[in-house]
This record gives sequence, C-alpha cells and structure tokens, in this order.
Amino acid sequence: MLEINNLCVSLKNNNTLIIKDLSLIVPKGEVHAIMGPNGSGKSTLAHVIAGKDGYEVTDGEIIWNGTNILNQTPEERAAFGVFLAFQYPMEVPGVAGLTFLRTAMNAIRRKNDQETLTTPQFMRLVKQKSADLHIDMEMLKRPVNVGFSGGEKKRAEILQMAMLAPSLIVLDETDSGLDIDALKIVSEGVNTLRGADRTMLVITHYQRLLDYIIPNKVHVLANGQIKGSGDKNLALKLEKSGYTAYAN
Amino acid sequence: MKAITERTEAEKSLIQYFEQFSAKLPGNNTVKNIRKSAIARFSQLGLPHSQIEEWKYTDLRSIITHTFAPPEQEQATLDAFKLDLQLNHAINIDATRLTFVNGQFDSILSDKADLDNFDFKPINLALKEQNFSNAQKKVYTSLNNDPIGVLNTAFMSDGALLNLKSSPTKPIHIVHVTTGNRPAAVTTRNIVYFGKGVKVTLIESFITIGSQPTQVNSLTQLFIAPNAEVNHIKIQRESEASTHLSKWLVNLGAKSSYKGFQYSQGAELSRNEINVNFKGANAVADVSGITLLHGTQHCDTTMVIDHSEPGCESRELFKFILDDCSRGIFQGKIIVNSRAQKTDGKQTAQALLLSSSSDFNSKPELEIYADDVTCGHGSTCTQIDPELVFYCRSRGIPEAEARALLMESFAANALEKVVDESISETIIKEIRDWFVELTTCKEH
Repeated sequence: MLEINNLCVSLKNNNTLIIKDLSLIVPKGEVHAIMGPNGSGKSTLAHVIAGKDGYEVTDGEIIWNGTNILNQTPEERAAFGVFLAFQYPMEVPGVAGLTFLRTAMNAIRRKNDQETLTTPQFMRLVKQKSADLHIDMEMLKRPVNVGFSGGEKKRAEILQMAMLAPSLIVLDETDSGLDIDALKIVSEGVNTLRGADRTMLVITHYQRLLDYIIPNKVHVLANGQIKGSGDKNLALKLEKSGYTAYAN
Repeated sequence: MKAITERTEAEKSLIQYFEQFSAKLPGNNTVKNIRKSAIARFSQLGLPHSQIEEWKYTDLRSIITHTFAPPEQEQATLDAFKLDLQLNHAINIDATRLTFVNGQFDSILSDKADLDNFDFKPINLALKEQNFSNAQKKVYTSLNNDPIGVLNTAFMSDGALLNLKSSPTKPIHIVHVTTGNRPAAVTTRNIVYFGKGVKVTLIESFITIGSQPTQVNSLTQLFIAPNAEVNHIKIQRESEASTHLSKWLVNLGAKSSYKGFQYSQGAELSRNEINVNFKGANAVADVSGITLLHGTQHCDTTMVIDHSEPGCESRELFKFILDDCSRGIFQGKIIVNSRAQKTDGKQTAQALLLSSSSDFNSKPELEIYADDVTCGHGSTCTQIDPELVFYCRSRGIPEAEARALLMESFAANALEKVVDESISETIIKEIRDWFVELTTCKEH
C-alpha cells in the first residue's frame, strides 16, 4: 500500500509550497489516476516519490510497504520497488539500451542481496519481455532513447518497467507527445504489467489515457492539494467541465 | 620566431647536457653535425613560451624549471613481468611488440620472431648509416623552427625505423617505457614508411615504472604511400611525475586513409602535437582522442591539418574529461591551400568539466585560401547533466556508477573511432579504471 500523509513540498531555497498537506492512499494492486491542471503539483508529486533532488519536503511522509521512503536515495527507492516512468524519457548517447538495462537490473539485484544475472540469463529475460511487449530487440542495441520517436521512448520505458519488475509504478504524464496509436500501444503495455502485486499512480492532464488504462480511482489535484476523488466517471466529468470548479 | 636573449636555468642545463653527453649519442659524423646544428638552433630559440601563438596556453619556458640528463647508457634491466603489469589492459592487444626501455631498443622484451616478417631497424643503428643520416638533414631542416623538434634531433637515442612494404598480419605495438632510480630525459624518434596499399595498425604506448620524474620527448614520422590504410593509436599512461612532449608528423599520399587516436591520462604536463599533411589528392584523415585529467594535470593537444591537395577530407574529434584543478587545451588549425579545392574539413573539441576549478581552452583556426571548400569547427564545454544522473539513479544505478556511465557516454563517439576491437576494449577498460579511481579518491 502507498500511503502519503500530510505531505508538504517546496522547491529547495524557496519557501513557497507546491504541495500542501497532501494525503493519499493507494491500496496494493490498485491503479489510481491523478488529474489536474498545469502547475497543480502533479509532476512534483511524481518526482518527490522517486526522490529527485531540488525539492524540500517540509512535512509529512511517503510510506511504501510500511517504510517511509523519504530518507532513501533514488537508487534505494528503485531497489525497494519504486519506478518513475518519465514524462520525457532521457537520451543517453553512447550507452546501449541493453547495457543500461543490465547495469540497472544488476545494481538492484545487488542491493537486494540477489545474485546478479549472467549475460545468457539476462539475454533470455530481455528477449522474452520484449517479445511480450512486441518490442524489436534491435532497438535495445541502440543508445538509450537516442533518435527514438516519442512512442518508441515510452515503449522503451515500459520495457524497463517489465525488466525491473517494480511494485510501485508512477507514470508521469505518459501520454505527453503520443499520437493516438502510440497511446494505445503504450497503454496495452502498462495493462500487461497490472497485477495484484503492483500498485500504480497514473498522472495525467487528459481523460483519454484513462480510456485505455482504467483506474480504480481518480483524484483531482489542484493547487497542491487533493480536491476531490471518485471513480473513472470523475475523469469524464472533468473532461467536460474543466478544472475551474477546483481552482481554489 | 624571435631569438631570446637571456637563457633560463633549464635552457642552460639542456645545452650543458648536450656538451656532456653528445659523444655518447648514436650516429656517424653527419648525424653528429646535425645534432650540433640542432642544439645551436635550440640555443637561439630557447624553450617555447606563451608569446608564441602555438604555445599560448602552455608556457614551457616558465613551467619547466628543471631538466634531466639522458639515462645511463648501459641497458636498464627490466623483467617482462613488471612490464606486463604496467602495460595493464594493453597486454591483451595481440600485436608484435617493439619495446624501448629508457629510449633504447630492448630485443629481449620485443617479439623477435615476428620481426623477421618486416623491415625493422632500431634508429640507433640506422643513424650510423650514411644514406639514412643524409636523409635526416632534410628532416632536421623541416623542424628548424620547432624548439621541441630540434631538441628531439639533438638528443634522440633510439626508436623504431619500420619499412612496411606489405600488410603485417598483426598490429605493431611500440612500447616506450621509462624506468630507473634517477630522473631522466628520454628522447626517441620513430620513422615508419607504409608502402602502397598496405593496411597497418600501429600502436604506441608510453608508460613509467617507478615514481621518479621523467621528461619524455617523442617524435613519430609517418610516410603513408598512396592507397594505404593506417590506424595509429597512442596510449599515454605515464606517471604523474612525468612531462610528456610528443609530436606526430603524418604525411598522406593520394587516396590513402589515416585514422589517428590518442588516449591520454598520464603525465603532469603533456603536449601532443599532431601535424597532418596531405601530399596527394583524395586522401582521408580522421584524428580523435580522449584525455582524462585530474589533480593539477595539464594536457595540450595542438593540431595542424594542412590541406595542400584537392579532394581531401579531415575529421577531428577530441574529448576531455577534467576534474579538480586540471587544465585541458585543444588548438586545431585547418589550412586549406589555394589548390586544395573540394576540401572537406571538420573539427570538434568537447570538454566535460567535473569540477568548477577545472579549465578548458579551445582555439580553432581556419586558414582557407581556396573557394570551393567545406570547413567547420565546434567546441563545447559541459557538465554532467543532473537530470541524467537522476534518470539513472531512478533505475537503481548508484550515483557513482551513474556518473561513470555518463562519462563513458560522453567519451563514446570518440572511442567509436578506434576500429580494432581489442584496442577499443583496452581503452574502455583504462577509462573505467580511471573512473573507479576517481570515485575511490573522492570517497576517502
């Protein structure tokens, strides 16, 4: 279960709060969506869960599987099952996708006192996972995300997710920069990864992503606070009426 | 170049060492006379200083305060195990090895069996032959205005003379090792002739065994005949008590191809000069390098690409990773002669600064006298992108490992220029060792 209690976040060296006393519970195995207008604090929430530098948590806690993860480094959180799918996945020139994935997987396995994967073990796994997600292995021989289209980058993220097998997935505006076909493909990938042991937080501006990734619950984030919660129909309502009702 | 009026202590002692040791340096009377002219020329020029444009960022006159005598003439004994240990990852390169210990050919540490397959002679023997020494007069004249070049002529003790008429089956690896209990100045000259159409990989390694200060002056001349394909790699891992001055003079025949690469991580002070001269049309030169510096290391790479023939292509890509208070310098000049139409030249120098006290100076120069040419240059100076570090860490990669991965990513497209896999593997392993050492130093 993900439990966020009274979270207050500002930027480092700036006292203005971006997230104000936010509390949220996502039970294990559920998918919750967070919707909200620009500047409401959606991406900040995603970044703070993953442990990105540059923010100051002035109050509150983020409890994942019974542990407050706020004092953990990003890599410790990754080893603890947290995965942030980036709005704009980064390009890493000169590092092949396979090398990057293997480095990440083995770092996590070492941290969790598991044996690292040998090359054949790793290759078998990556072949299987890419086949499941209909990803061409050739893409992984190229440098991470370099020259990839928006859709390819998101699919590469989903493959990373499938390989690292996290238990808490935060999707930060995964629909950004995707056309409708790419959106479908990416959503299918995410849906394949849904399961009783996997908790997901889907952050989005638009309802359309939620046509494909159907959430158990939808929360409205405005002005740094959860202003309302409901089922998937809340998303449809927001699409019609906009966020004005939640402005204050 | 203006003559200097007052000599520094270092300059005086260099001239004095010449008087003291010249009788022991190899060569017939012709060579002895060339050496005398060279030291006389040096006494006019003195050590290069920052008022000379090519030495703007590396003022040897003020940096070099001490000079050392040439090493003792008796062969230093070095066991093969120690040499292999110091060669580190480079021992995995399957090549014919020619080893020079303190500037003298060591046949025991060289692959004698392979030597029968091509024409090799230690320069110290060649200097006693009349034909060869006559040819050296011309070489000396061409170096007349270069103080480091004239010092090389005055003091050169040995080196490899290779005449490759056909393609050898393996790369040739010239290993320059400096060892011993006292500081020494080691001066070597390599001359390699590549016959028409031959395909050769030539590697030069520079290492130090022990921590005694050394001054290395190494000059390599390549004469590449038409249609030949040459890969030329330098791996410089001398001790940080070393001063490394090196010069490559590359002459390219028509339709030949030259791929040069320099990996530099050693020496407190290093200057790598690379001069590429197109002597025939439609030749290609692709020169690149990776320099890793920390502490107060200073490395200056200065290139001149002289397009005197039409239809030639030149590419340069140099990467510097600079930590602490180190300083990297890249000076790249492309000259396009009026008859060198259809020249295509491009140079890029990039630095990754790991510390706010490190420094990178980049000075591109284009001198173009022809009208139908494509020439360009670019230079960037960056830091490791914190967003990228976070991306790696969010995937479970610890911070130090993430930073090393990103440094490797920065160097990658220069390293890709090394086509021989066993050599690029060697270099990547050296780079990774350097990163590990860097991280370990920071942690303690």
